[in-house]
Amino acid sequence: MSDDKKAQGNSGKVQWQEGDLTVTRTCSWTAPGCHDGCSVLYYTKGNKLVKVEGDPESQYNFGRLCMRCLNQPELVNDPNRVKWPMKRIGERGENKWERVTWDEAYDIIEKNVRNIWRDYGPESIVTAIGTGRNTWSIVPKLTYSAFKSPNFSMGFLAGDSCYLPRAAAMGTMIGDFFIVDASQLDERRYANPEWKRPECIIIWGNNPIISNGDGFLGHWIVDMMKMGTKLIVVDPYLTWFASRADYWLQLRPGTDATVVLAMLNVIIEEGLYDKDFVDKWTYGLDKLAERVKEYSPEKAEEISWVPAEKIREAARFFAKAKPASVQWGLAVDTQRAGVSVANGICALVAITGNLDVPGGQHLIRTAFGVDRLAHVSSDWGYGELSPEMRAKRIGTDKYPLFKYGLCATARGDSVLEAIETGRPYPVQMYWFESTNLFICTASEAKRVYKAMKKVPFVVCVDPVLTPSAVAFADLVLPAAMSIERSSLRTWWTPLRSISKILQYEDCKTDEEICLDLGKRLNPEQFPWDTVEDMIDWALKPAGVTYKELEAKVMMWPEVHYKKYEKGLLREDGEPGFNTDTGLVNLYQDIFDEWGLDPLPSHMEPPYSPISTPQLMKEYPLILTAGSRPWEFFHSEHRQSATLREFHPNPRLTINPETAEKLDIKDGDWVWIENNLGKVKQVAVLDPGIDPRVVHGEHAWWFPEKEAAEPTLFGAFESNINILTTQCTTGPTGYGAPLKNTICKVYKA
Amino acid sequence: MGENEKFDMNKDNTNKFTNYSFSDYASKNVKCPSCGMFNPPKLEKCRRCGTPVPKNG
Repeated sequence: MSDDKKAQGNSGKVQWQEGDLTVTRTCSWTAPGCHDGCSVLYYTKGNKLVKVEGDPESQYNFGRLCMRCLNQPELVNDPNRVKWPMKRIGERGENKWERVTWDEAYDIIEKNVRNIWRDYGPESIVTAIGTGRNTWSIVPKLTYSAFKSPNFSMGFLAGDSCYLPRAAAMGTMIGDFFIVDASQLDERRYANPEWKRPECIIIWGNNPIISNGDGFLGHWIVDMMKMGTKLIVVDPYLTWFASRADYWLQLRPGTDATVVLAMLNVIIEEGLYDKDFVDKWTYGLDKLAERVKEYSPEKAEEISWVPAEKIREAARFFAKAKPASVQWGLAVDTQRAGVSVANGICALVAITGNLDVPGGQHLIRTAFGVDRLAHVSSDWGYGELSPEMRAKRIGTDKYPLFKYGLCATARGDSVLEAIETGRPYPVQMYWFESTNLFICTASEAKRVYKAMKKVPFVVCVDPVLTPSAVAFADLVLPAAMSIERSSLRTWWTPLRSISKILQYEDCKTDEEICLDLGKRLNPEQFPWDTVEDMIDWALKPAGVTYKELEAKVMMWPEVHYKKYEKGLLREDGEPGFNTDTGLVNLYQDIFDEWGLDPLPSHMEPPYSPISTPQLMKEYPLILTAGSRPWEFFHSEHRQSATLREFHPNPRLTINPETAEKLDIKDGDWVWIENNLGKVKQVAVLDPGIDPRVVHGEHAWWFPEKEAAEPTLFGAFESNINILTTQCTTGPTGYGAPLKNTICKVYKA
Repeated sequence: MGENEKFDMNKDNTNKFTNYSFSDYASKNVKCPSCGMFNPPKLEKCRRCGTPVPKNG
């Protein structure tokens, strides 16, 4: 029987048998994986995962899966995973461990936490997670409610440059998150009569078919392209999308603000904005119009290298397309002007009348309001802290926007400084869960490595033994993978169940660890007997239990457009946006109150042809970094032999013209060096990158190499984070130049 | 849920996402009767259209 016929025979079922294989229909959301939560069919035999397929009945991913998800059996069944709790018995970095029971591990943690509470205060405990994973909701709860600390963080991520600058910008300017309306809000999808196909999508600093970031599946754009949607792509590299775009704006990395402000200049000057929307629902167009006069397309060309005429044409094209939207990515965040760039893009979407219209930029909240466990909200438990304790969140004293963004993180750069200097107070305990600190999220990897050695008590929770675990951890706790977890997923819609099918050795789920420790340390805030009780509580807004949701696999909520007209956004039920003014703040009085520029502007990267022309003589190339490869999600997947067969080594993308001048051939190992250090990667000659720019891959380590120091899985060999900077953010405290620094390249 | 019924859902441990930070601003500000913009209560006139702002919302 063909696979199609088999699937039809099992239509609507949650679980069935195919020969000796059990097939389960569910959702997968890290680990291993990515930001997204695709619908899968897991084929298992006993306690072993045999294969994974995309669920052909899912209106979410329509049966599609990427190679990372298809490769799950290799990672789930990996015999080198962490199998049980381990206590360090040698020096940090020696990779010497002793197996302990969960109770023994919890006893050690509880004793340390209580001692820290008594001697230093709960604020001396800092936690960290990696991006896009299920831990985004659970670790905050652990931090705020179990450890009673205000310091939940994204590790040492400079400028919290992963979605948070965009979240902060959306928070102050619009009051809600937004997302491209690719019809994903309604189960009928492209057949929903209320939905309209976007005429134009700008893909800004993003390669969504690989990254699938922020609750958006990149292939939806491919679907819409097939239906006729046109693209504008803003990217320094000729991505697959850029090669098919009507306009490719190939900019110098870190100059995005000039491009968006010049586009606004054209749209406002030529009267191409939606006057009705602007009059009724925005505040400050006159002031924005004054500001963008400083950014003519010619001025933008001078700074960004994008031809002025192309900026003009793209601006007109976008403004005239109805509806239109912007799919943005990490490159928006990873610059000192990250918040400004995001503000500029928010303004672009708003003044062209594309906010919350069908096929435009949807103002999105989680399905049925289920935010706990299922979402990337970082405030679960934050309200339980006293105002005095909240005020101690690291970084908020100097950077008020951190208090008022849509996420409640402790600022990564400020945490690093606190460890280094003991100010505003020393960090006594560091808990990192599903993040590989100095390999992936941190910049200045050697500085962070040195700082972390100073923290007295460190716990790592991860499915695999990473360089960060070996280098710093006193305890390593084995985390379950997605197929081993009962949980939920919204971020954003539909509401999906995640079913536990397997148990790997002595692993526990993130949810279990949080609940176990919560019940020991602060039982009042953990009134649930089991994780399923906790999930049932989280599901109350949806009116179902976990078992009921599991039987449905997913649930789609009702869609509402133009919610600002209907009083659906504000707590007081008034029409308008959930902002201080009730309007879209094109000019931000709040920024003015905080001593920040209330309007968007460009800021040069700290190292660039304009900022440091002298240094450019020694390091003449722009170094951008961190684009996503097909095979890996950040530092994950390096242990997969299959994925490494596709992508064995870290790659430096370099224009053939530049390579020729440097006598570099395709496949040569090369040094990438700047004033902070040097690392080695393999040159890939590619005319899709500007001759003045090179791209280095991030998050590389080599699980096949020696774990113990000094090798540490090759942690310092190809780690591009050695060349990027901490503590060089813009004035908001958000956004750091991770993708726009300088270097020289030469044969290794 | 058993034990969970005793749990006070209306306390801070809510299972509804609130924009904990901006709700302070959004809920305290006063709506302008003319243009609909919300203004800080300390202001005499609306920042957007200049209409006098009601003192008690």
